[in-house]
Amino acid sequence: MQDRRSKPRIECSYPAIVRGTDARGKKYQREAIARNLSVGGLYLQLNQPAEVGSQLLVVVNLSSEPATPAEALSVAARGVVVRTEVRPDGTHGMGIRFERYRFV
Amino acid sequence: MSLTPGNVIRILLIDRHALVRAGLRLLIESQPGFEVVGEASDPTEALAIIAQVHPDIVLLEPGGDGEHLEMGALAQLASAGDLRLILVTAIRDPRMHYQAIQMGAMGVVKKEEPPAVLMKAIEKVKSGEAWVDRSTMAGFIRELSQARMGEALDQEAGRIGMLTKREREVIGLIGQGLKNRQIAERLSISEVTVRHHLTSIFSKLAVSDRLELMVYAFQNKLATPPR
Repeated sequence: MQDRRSKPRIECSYPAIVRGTDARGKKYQREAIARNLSVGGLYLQLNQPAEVGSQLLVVVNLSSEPATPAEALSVAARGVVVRTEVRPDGTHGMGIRFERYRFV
Repeated sequence: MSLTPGNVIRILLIDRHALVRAGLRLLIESQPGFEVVGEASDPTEALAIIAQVHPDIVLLEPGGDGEHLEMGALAQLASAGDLRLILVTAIRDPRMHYQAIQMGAMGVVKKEEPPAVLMKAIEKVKSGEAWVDRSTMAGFIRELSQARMGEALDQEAGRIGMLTKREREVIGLIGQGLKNRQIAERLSISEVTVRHHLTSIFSKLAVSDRLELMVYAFQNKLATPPR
């Protein structure tokens, strides 16, 4: 299959927090792991799926050492879910395209 | 194709075997719109004829040992100027065909092909197109792709080579996810100096922000991503 992602990306394993609103309008926050990352988006692994097309806020902790939230360098991104899948281990995978991001 | 003088394709045959030339002449002149204007048994003889008759197309059987094309004749003809040259060969190896195209041939037709293929090749090359089979074309595309990849790698190596030792240290710490203040503490420099280093790094590596720098650093082994 042709890979339509044009931005260079890296395989990684960064802890992340996902915030969104489910189909019933209820807000949620979930823990996730960023499995790959580029300036255009990322791929998340988490326990519950989100709908394709839904908007999310993702905060990815980029620090490789244990750090308090104040010390950790994180990237906060607003993005759209562009694809979802069930992974072999039963967790959910989610491709997210960034609309904008900033460092916090 | 009608037989008006303006659109008859004029062809010169080069083959060391008189019987082969005669066969090709019979084939070509049985088709409307094609005319054999000369025959030669070697490139030296051919060049003299070319100077007189100015053929549209030169058909060359270059010879060879069954596996390799004899490139001498091709080189001699290619150096003579703007000839539209088609090789007619029994050699199937696409690498040989590819080499012939690189040396100036505009088409390669295998002897095992039906006569209609040769006539089509002549028409296409006359109109300015190339005539090669898919394997040869694949060789072109592969080489082009490798050349571009090589250029890109050279470009990245050049950019990375401009980095100072201190800038590489900063990139390594960026890869660890450190903030400017933390980098300053680790390197015993001020945050302002860290920002100056980052500005210089962004410029040298042609990246626009910290995230792009991290991705670049991991991809180019300037930093190690956490696992």
